[in-house]
Amino acid sequence: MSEATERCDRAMRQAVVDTLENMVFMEVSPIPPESAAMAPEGAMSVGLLIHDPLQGELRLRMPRKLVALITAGVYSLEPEELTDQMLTDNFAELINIIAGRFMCELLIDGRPFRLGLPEPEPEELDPNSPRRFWTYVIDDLAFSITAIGQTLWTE
Amino acid sequence: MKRIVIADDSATARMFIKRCLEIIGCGGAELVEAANGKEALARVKEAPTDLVITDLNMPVMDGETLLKWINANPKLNQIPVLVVSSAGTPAKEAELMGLGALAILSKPVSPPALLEKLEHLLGEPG
Repeated sequence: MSEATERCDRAMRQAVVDTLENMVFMEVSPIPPESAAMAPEGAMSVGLLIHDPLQGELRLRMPRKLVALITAGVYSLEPEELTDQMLTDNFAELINIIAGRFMCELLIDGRPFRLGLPEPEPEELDPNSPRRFWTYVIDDLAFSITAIGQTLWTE
Repeated sequence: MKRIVIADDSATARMFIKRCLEIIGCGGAELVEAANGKEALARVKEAPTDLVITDLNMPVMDGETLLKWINANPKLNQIPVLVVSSAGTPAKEAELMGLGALAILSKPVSPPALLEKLEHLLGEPG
């Protein structure tokens, strides 16, 4: 594995752990991708474009139950009290923070960067597009992040 | 009573900041929400405001443009602007400080980090 790829992997792990542990004090652990099966009907997905200085996209996919747990933690409410709007909004904020922290970790020279706005339920990715894929677990609930855009792990 | 305008397109982020403000003793302040920079500018113009807390990446008008508009207006440019962002690299922070930002905080905001930036600014709680 190249140094750039290792840096990318490290940056993502740090971004995910920092975001969730600081936001809702939840312990996050990386797991192998084959352990991260998610039922498509129970999953939420959100994408966010990275515009500059590298170009790419991040996709976050989580079981709805986990999004509800995290959102309940943020709002100090019971999961049953949450509205769909709260879940969607919090999920979008999650990818926004993860992407920002990821880029801060990735760009070791501290260059400014520019991100797009979160896009809920984006279209399926082209199965042939190069990507990196990371999987994590919180309270036995697995979730994944996908990066598209080779410059993110080759430069 | 203090008046604080909070600009973020995410209702979650606005709620999170409000909770942090309450925790650090600003719960008695008038907390005014805005979903983008344009709305925040309108809220700032409609009544005397003690502090603006803004995200950077927002639709319609982003936080950097809001900061420029506030600092270009002699009636508003005494209002401190705290930028809260997930995109705060050292270069970006220097740029924003050059534009007149009071300070830059990384998301997710924590009450101690917010208190550190605001304790001298807001004086008496609430």
